[in-house]
Amino acid sequence: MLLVSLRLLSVFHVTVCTHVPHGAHPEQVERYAEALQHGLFQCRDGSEALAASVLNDDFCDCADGSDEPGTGACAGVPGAMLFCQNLGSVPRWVYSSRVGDGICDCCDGSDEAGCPDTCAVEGPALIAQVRAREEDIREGRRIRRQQMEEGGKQAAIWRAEKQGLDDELAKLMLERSGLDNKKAPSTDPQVRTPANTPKSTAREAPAISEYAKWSLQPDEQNQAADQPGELQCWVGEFVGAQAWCCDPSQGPRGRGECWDQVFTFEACCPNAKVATSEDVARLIRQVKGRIFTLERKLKAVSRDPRWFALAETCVKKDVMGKEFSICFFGDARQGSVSLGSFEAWDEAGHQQLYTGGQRCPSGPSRSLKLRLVCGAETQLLDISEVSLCSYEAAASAPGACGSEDLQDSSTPLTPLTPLTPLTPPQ
Amino acid sequence: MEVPRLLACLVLALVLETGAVDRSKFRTCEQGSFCRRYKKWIARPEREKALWEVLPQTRTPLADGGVSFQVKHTNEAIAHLLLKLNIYASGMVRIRLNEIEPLHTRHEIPAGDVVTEPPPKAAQVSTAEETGKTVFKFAAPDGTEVQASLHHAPLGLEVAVGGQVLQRLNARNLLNFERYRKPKERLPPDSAAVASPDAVLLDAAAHPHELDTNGLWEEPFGGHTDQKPRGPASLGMDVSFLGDVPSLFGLPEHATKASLPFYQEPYRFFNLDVFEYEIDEPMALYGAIPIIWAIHRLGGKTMASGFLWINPSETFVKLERDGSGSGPAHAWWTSESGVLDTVVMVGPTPKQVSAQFHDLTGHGPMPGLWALGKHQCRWNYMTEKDVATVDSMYDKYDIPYDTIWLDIEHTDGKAYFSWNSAAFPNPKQMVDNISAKRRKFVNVVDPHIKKEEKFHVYREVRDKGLFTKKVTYKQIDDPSDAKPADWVEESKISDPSATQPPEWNAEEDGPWVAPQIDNPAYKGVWHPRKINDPTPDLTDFEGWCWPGTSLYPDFTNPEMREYWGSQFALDKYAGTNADTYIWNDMNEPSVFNGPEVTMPRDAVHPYGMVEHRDVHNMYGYYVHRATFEGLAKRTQGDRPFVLTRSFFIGSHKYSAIWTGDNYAQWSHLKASIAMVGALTLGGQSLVGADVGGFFKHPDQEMTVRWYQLAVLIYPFLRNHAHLETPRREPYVFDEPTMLRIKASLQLRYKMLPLWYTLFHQWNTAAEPVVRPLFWDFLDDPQTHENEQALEDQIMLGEVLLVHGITKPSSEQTEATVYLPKAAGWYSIQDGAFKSPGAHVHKLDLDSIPAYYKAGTVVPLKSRIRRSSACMSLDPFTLNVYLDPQTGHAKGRLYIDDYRTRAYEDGKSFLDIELEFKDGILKASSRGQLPEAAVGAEIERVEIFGLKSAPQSAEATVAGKAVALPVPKSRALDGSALHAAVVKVKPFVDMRSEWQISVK
Repeated sequence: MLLVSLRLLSVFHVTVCTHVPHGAHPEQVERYAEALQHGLFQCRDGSEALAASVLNDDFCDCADGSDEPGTGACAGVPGAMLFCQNLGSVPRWVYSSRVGDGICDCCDGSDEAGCPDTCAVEGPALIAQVRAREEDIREGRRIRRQQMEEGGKQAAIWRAEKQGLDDELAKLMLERSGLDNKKAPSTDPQVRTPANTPKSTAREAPAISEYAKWSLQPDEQNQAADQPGELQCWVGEFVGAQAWCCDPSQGPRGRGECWDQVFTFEACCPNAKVATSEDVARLIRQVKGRIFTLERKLKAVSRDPRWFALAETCVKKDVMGKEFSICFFGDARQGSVSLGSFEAWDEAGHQQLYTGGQRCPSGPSRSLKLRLVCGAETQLLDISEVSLCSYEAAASAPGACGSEDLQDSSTPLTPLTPLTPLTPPQ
Repeated sequence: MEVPRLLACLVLALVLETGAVDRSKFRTCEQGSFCRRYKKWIARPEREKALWEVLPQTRTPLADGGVSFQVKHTNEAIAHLLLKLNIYASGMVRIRLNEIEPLHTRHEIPAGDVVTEPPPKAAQVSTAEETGKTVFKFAAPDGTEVQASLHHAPLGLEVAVGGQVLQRLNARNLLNFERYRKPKERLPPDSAAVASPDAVLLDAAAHPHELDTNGLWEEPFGGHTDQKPRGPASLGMDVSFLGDVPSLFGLPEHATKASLPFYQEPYRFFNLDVFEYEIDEPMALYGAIPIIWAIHRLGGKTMASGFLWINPSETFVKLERDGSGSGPAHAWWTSESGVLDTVVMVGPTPKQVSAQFHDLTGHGPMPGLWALGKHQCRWNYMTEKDVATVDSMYDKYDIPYDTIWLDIEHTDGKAYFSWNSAAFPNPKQMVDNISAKRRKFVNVVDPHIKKEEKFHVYREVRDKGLFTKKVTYKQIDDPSDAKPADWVEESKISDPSATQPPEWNAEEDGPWVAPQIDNPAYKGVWHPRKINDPTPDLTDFEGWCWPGTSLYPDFTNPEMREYWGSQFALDKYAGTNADTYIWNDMNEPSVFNGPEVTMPRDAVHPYGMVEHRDVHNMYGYYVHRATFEGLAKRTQGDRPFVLTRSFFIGSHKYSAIWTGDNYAQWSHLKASIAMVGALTLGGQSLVGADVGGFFKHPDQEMTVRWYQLAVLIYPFLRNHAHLETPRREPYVFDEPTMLRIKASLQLRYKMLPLWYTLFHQWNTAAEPVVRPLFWDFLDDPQTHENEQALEDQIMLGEVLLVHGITKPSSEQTEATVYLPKAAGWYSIQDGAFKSPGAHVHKLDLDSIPAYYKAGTVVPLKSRIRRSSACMSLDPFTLNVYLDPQTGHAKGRLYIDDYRTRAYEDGKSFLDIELEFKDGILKASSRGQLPEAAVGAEIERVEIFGLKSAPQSAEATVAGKAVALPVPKSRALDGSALHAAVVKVKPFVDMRSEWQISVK
């Protein structure tokens, strides 16, 4: 019953819809009117001017498919689409390949002869869903703007702190080389201590700076910050890491297995011979640790301050009885198994890559791709093992909200037109 | 999917890193006793001596139209072999050789399983006895005279076509036929009693030179021992292909070249689950179609012939030639058991060889149109949501595909016919959702049965006693072995040479007694011969496979096949619908802990108590046949679809096949051209390789090149991937790559009417859908000797020449395309005209070289939708590629309902012959297509190769002329020719009388 010839369909619509060609968006009326001036139809790509009768005549005349908005004649041509008005429900674009293919895609039946109008049935729930989604996006964008402001400020603080620490580190290194050479540590009165470094003071710099002293205090307030500890010495946090990484017979190991450029064999391994006093060595270690933490946070916001809030956030979800957790810019886990640590954004900037997780029995080490989509709430939407030890996840976060989300990335099957115009993002 | 994961872990370091096949697992000719024996047999010094002799006086007509002769060995008292000779009207000579009264029944393939039943029509033959030979003369269908001469001593067959001898069987006197013999006996019953039995020259298992008795009665390999209770029973023979033979083709399935290399090691046929097979190898793979195609340049003509060796036991075939690269070619064959059954297909054209092969083995059925669309598979889509996502992502990018597949992980612990309920809680809803998109679903159902009490298939097959058996042999005294009357059991006798010494005084010394000496005639204590208990213990054979301990049904038993088929009924197989079809994997069968990863040869099929060795290469065939027959019953009138990995001669009647677990490597992409070509020459037209390779991950360029080739030359078009590889569905790649893949798939869907028409030609006229160039251009010698024409190029029908690009652009920026002798060629991309000969083609990433042959009309559809079913009502586009000299072109379009077996009535279709001549496109049609079931209109005609741009067009339908819009024209590159697009408005309905003309 459904599979009535396409020709009947198009003829029917062309005769009834005299103002807007069947399948064209109402906003395109002018474009079609313009194209039809002087009794000729101009293909949208400008390639050809044809007789006006080619419009919806069920033959694909234009290379871009623009002459057949209401038939399936240009099925498969990139960009060829039909717009279903779906009065009473959500209007949508469908590919021309859906027109006259025996499947009812539009609830108003405009893509198919013989499809009933079901918009009134499905409409209310769909509209509510779309509105809720739009509201969610709006809220997400509002939060994003707020977070960006905070993030910008916080990033400035972190950068300043890091700058101070970098200087501090340079000084400590000098000090160490001084000790190595059995000379008095040099002091540089020019060393700048950033004014906004927490608890830093402007007192005269001693052999060991005030900041360094501060950072060594067993002060709870400081401990609450992300201090480097023994565990963080090793990137992978694997069992027996210290014994493995510090085995002097093996020589220094690479980043993938033990540590990155921040930590070193000398800094992490207690038995390693460091030709300087223990205090200085420990200080260097601790300063480097703090720098590492700051760098990680800065990395999070460096792309865009919108990701600031994520740098301190973890999300969880149970999928088919397994508990997954991801700490953004940190580690991803399934139960106690590491799925990887934050490595980088992908080139397009839509996904975060987490790599270097626990190695599979016969495969690579586990890794995760995390796609961020717009949402007011930060949550883990979905996660699955798409191939052995390779995971893909989606999380919503306000930071992911931008103007493009008004196209609704959650229903990507066909383009969706918003119900109401939205103000463009600032 | 194949890697035994347990094994994979064990051999990871050895195997995965090198990506190489583990050769130590698989036997070579030298490692198998019968092949090693045969090699020594054919090297015997007295090879010229006639051993087997046809007795012409015993000629007896057979009920099937053939004749039989007794065959006597020169060292035997009476004839023990029977030769049957059949000549079939389509142009075939078949000879079979079996024992007359064997000790054990030699396995013969049941009638109808490989050779059709009733057998092919017998030819009208005139027979004459001549000196030393019996001569049979008949006419091939094209009238060519064929003469088959059966030489008497030694037994031999010579087949001449049109006066030219094409093939000679046993030309080099390499025949071997080992009759069954009693346990541990050297000679079979009733062999001539000779003074020194060791000197008897009888067969490969009993001859005096380089006697190799290893492995006659027991044979170890790879930690297993083959019990061989029936002893040696192998057979072998040679065949010579005469004339100048530039190339031999065929012998699927091997990962080798199209023009078969003459390897030192024989090609092996022993269906196996070979992990990470390599290219350019004669090693056995998953299936066996032991056919050779030969090209003979002889008497100023080029002819083709075929040779088929029908034996399902392990078989080796060695190719040899006298010189290098020219002159006659030879092959010797040897099989482990069974009977000798060979068929000479006399050709003399490739089309006739194909017709002869299918006359013998049956014609393939029409596949559902959907089976020719895109198949999306992976080991594994893990959940219902995963399936829904893949489906919707195709839709998101408007990429067409027809079928989504689930591999083994969808099951409840690999108990097939079941679902993992955590991941697939509502399978029926899932498959119905796919159906709603007018798409199909395929589930894997493997033949190994999980040993688990709760699994109904296990319980039921066990209770019916239908599993294959393991035999535990006990040795007993042979009750038939009586002590011979002349057996001397006295170990001592009186010394006959002794005489009473003269000084002997009987009175004093007592009576003289001769001294006892060892009896020279003493034969020792007599013991009856030990034999295997004729009623040994039989237990169900158990092996390891995916589920762990598994059992293997005896699919050779029709009752088992019936039971198996009934499991696919919709009320039996929960969670499926009528759009769900089946994939039989691992059906060699794969037994992870078995010898060579398969079933031991001494396992027994209870149906007829046949040893597995006798039927091994047909196990997979019986599995997929049972599935096919079950699906045919499940939905009356529907065309079943089954994909199988293992196959044998005749599998084409039931199943699609793919080339198994290939590798994401350029070399595998290239090899697929030859592998597909060899399979289609073996009758298997519904065939393809996994696009992108199964193991490892193809990079974007390799993926694109693979799709570009596959859409044009793989009839069965499936993308598949190993569990450990990243996803590789078309949409996961970057946008330029995705768009190239999409364009390739759109081209495939555009060409579906051509593919479908070619399958009709396969179904009715036995023409391979895809074929090596020589099939269409036998008279062009380049097609049998030019490396590129042989190995890089292949034809889709007689219509399209395709040149695969199988190297990355960093290594290859242009390709030399050889266009065979024809009226000319038109580029599929832009219609540019090319003359025959070699052309350098500059490469870009958007397409590979492909050319339509001038003089053809190609049916297409311009509207590309999400599945083939969605396109069934759409009108057609006809592309006319003119012979520029004559302005002429011909073609064919076949339309039916695309899915049911209604076409089998001989009329429920539209079979249209198209012809363009003098500016007019006309048709003559056969059949009646039910109204409105499918579209049969023309919306568009594109004409290439016009001398000038046409100024008008007109359609005439049922006698009524209608002016059409003025065609749009353009000049074609590389020539003074033009192309024109005729807009057929209104559409022309091809159900009526019609014509379309341009001026």
